[in-house]
Amino acid sequence: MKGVVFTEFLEMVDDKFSPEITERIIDNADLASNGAYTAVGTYDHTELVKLVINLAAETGAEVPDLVRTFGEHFFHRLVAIYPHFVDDDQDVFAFLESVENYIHIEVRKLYPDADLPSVKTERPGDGQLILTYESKRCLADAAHGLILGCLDHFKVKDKVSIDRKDESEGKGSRVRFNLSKAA
Amino acid sequence: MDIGTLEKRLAREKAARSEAEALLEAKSRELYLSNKELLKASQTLIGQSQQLNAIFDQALTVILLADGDGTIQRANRSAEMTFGREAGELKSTNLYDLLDQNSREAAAEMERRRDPAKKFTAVGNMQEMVGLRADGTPFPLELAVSVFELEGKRHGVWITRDITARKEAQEKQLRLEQELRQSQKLESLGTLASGIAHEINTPIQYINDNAHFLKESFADLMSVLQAYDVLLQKADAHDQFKEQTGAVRANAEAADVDFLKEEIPSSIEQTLDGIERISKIVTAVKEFSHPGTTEMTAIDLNQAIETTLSVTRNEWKYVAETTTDFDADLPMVPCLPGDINQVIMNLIVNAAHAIESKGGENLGKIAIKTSHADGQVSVSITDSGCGIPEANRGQIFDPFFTTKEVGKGTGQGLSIAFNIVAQKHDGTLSFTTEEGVGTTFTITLPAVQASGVKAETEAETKEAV
Ligand code: HEM
Ligand SMILES: Nc1ncnc2c1ncn2[C@@H]1O[C@H](COP(=O)(O)OP(=O)(O)O)[C@@H](O)[C@H]1O
Ligand SMILES: [Mg+2]
Repeated sequence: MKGVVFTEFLEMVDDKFSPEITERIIDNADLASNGAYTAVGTYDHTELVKLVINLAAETGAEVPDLVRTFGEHFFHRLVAIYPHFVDDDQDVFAFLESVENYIHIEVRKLYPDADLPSVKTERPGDGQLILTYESKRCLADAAHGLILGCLDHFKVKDKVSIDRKDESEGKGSRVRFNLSKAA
Repeated sequence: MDIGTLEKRLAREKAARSEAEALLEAKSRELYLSNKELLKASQTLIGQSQQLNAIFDQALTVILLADGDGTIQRANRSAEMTFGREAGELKSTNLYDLLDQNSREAAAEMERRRDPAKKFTAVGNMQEMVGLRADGTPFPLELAVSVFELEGKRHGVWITRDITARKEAQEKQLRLEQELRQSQKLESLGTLASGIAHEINTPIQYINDNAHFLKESFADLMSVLQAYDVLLQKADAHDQFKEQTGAVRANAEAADVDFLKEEIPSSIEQTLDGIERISKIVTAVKEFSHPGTTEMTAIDLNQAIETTLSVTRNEWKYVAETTTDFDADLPMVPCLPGDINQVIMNLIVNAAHAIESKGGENLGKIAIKTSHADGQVSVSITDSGCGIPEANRGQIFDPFFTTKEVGKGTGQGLSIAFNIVAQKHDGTLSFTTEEGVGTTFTITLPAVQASGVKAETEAETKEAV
C-alpha cells in the first residue's frame, strides 16, 4: 500500500483527534516501518489495519466507521493532490465510472506497484449506478467513504442515496454499492 | 504538542525523508537502466527495420502488401518499375486492378484456396498470369499469394515477377531450335538432292543417246520402207509376185504401218522433250544446292534466278504466275552461289506467302527483273501480295520477327537474306511496299567490272567495307 494512504491517515488523526493520539497508536502498533512513511514509498497494508484498530481502542469508535471516515477524508485529499483527475463540471456518476477506466489506470502509471481495487460500474436504469468494489485488502469501508467524499465534492450528498450489499459473506472483499439519484 | 512528541515526529520525518531519497535514487537508476535498454532495443529495432526495408525495396521481385479488401498498403521499388506506377499511386490501388480479367479470377481463386483456420497460408506455387502496366499494356508475370492475419486483420502479400524477358528467351530458343532443325533438314535434303541428281544424270545420258539413236534409225528405216513401197507398186504394175505382195500388205495392215510412220517420230520427239526437261531440272537441282561452294564465284544471276524459280515452283504455282524481265547484258556477279540462291528463294517464297495471305480468286503476280548500272547489278522481286503494314516495316529484318503462324514462318528469312547481301556481299537489300497492293524487294550487288578481274573486285569490296 502506498505511503500516501498512511501519511493522509496520520494527518487525519492529528486533525480529528490529536497529535498525542497519533503518537500513541504508532507506539502501540509495533510497526516494521516505525511509522516513518513517505508518500512515494510502499508499505504493508496491515500496518494501516493495526493503526485503525489502535485508534478505535484509543477513541472508542467502531473500526468500520473510522475507515469510512478516513475514506471520505482521503477523497478530498486526493482531489487536492491530483486536481487534474477531477472535472468539477462532470456528472458524479460519469466521474465514478472514470475511476476504473481512467484514474486508477493513471495511478498505476505513476506507481506500478500500487495495490488498486477493481471498481466496476454499470447503469441499470435512469439515475442509477451500481458500483462493485472488489479487493483482497477488504477495504469496502474505505470505498464507501471515498464514494461519500465524492458525493460531497460534487455537492450531491443529499441527492444520491447509497444502498450497500456485501457479496463476500461480510468479509468486505466484494461489495455492491447501489447509488440512486433522487427524482 | 510537547517536546517528546515533536522529537518523535522529527525522527520519523528524517527517516521518511532518507527513505524517500533512497527511493528516488533507486528510481533514477531504474530509469537510467531501462532507458539504456530501451535505447538498445530501439536501435536493434531500427537496424532490423532498416534491414527489412532494404530487403523489401531492393528485392528484384515485386512485393505488394494489401489489406483484406485487396487495397495496396505497401509496394516496393520493383513494383513501381514493373507496373510503371509510383508507390504513391500504387497505394490505395486494388491489387486486382493490376491484372487482366482472366488473371483476376485466377488470383481470386488462389486466395480462396487459403485455409481459413490458419493464421498464415501460402497458396500453392507461382502461377503464370497477365499483368497490366500503367498504360494498360499486358505483360506476363508469375504470382504467388499468401494470406495472413496481423493484429486480427486479414492481409495479403503478393509476390510477383515480370517474366517477359524469360518468355521471350524461351520463344527465341524455341525458334532457334526450329530453325536449326529446318536448316539441318534442308542441308541433308540438299545433299540428298545433289546426290540423286548426279545418279539420275548417267541413265538420262544414255536414255537421251538411245532416243536420238532411235530417231535417226527410224528416219533411215523410213527411207527403206519408202523404197519397199516403190518395189511393191512395181510388182503390182507387172502383176507379179501376187502372193508375196499380198502377204506384205496384210502384215503392213496388221501392224498399222501408216499409223506407226506418223506416230513414232512424234513419240520419239516427246520422249526427247521429256528427257530435256528432266535433265534441266536435274541441272537446276545440282546448281541450286551447290553443296560445298564457299568461295566467291562469278555467276550469271539470270541463270540463277531461272534455276531458283524452277526449284521453288511448288511454292508459288498455286498462288501466282511468275514473269521475268532479264537484262540480256547483265554482267557476271561474284558471289557465294548457294547463299545468293537462298536469298532469292527466301524473297520468292515470301512473295508467294504475301499473295496467299491476301487471298482472292485470281492468281497473283511475281515479277522478277534484273538490270545493271554503274557497276551494280540489281534484282527486284515484285509481288501483288498483302504489302507490309507501316507498324511492321521497321522490324521485318529483325531475326525472329514473323507475322506467320508457327511452322510456316520462322522470322529468319529476311534476317538471313540481309546478312548475306549486306555482310557477305557488300550489297544492299531494300523494299518498297503498299498495303493491299504489293511489295518490291530489291537486291543490289557489285558486279564484276567489264575490264576488271575477279581479284580487283574483291579488293574494291574490301575497301568499301
Ligand atoms: C481522484 C480520484 C482518485 C485517485 C487519484 C485515486 C488514487 C488511489 C491511490 C493512489 C490508491 C492507493 C493505492 C495503493 O495503496 O497502492 C487508491 C486506492 C484505492 N482506491 Fe482510489 N483513487 C481515486 C478515487 C477513488 C474512488 C472514487 C474510489 C471509490 C470506490 C476509489 C477506491 C479505492 C480503494 C477502495 C482503494 C484502496 C485499495 C484497495 O481497496 O485495494 N478510489 N486510489
Ligand atoms: N513480300 C512480302 N510481303 C509482305 N510481307 C512480307 C514480305 N516479305 C516479308 N514480309 C513480312 O516480313 C516478315 C518477316 O519475313 P521473314 O524474315 O522472311 O520471316 P518469315 O517469312 O519466316 O515470317 C514476314 O512474317 C512478313 O510479315
Ligand atoms: Mg520468309
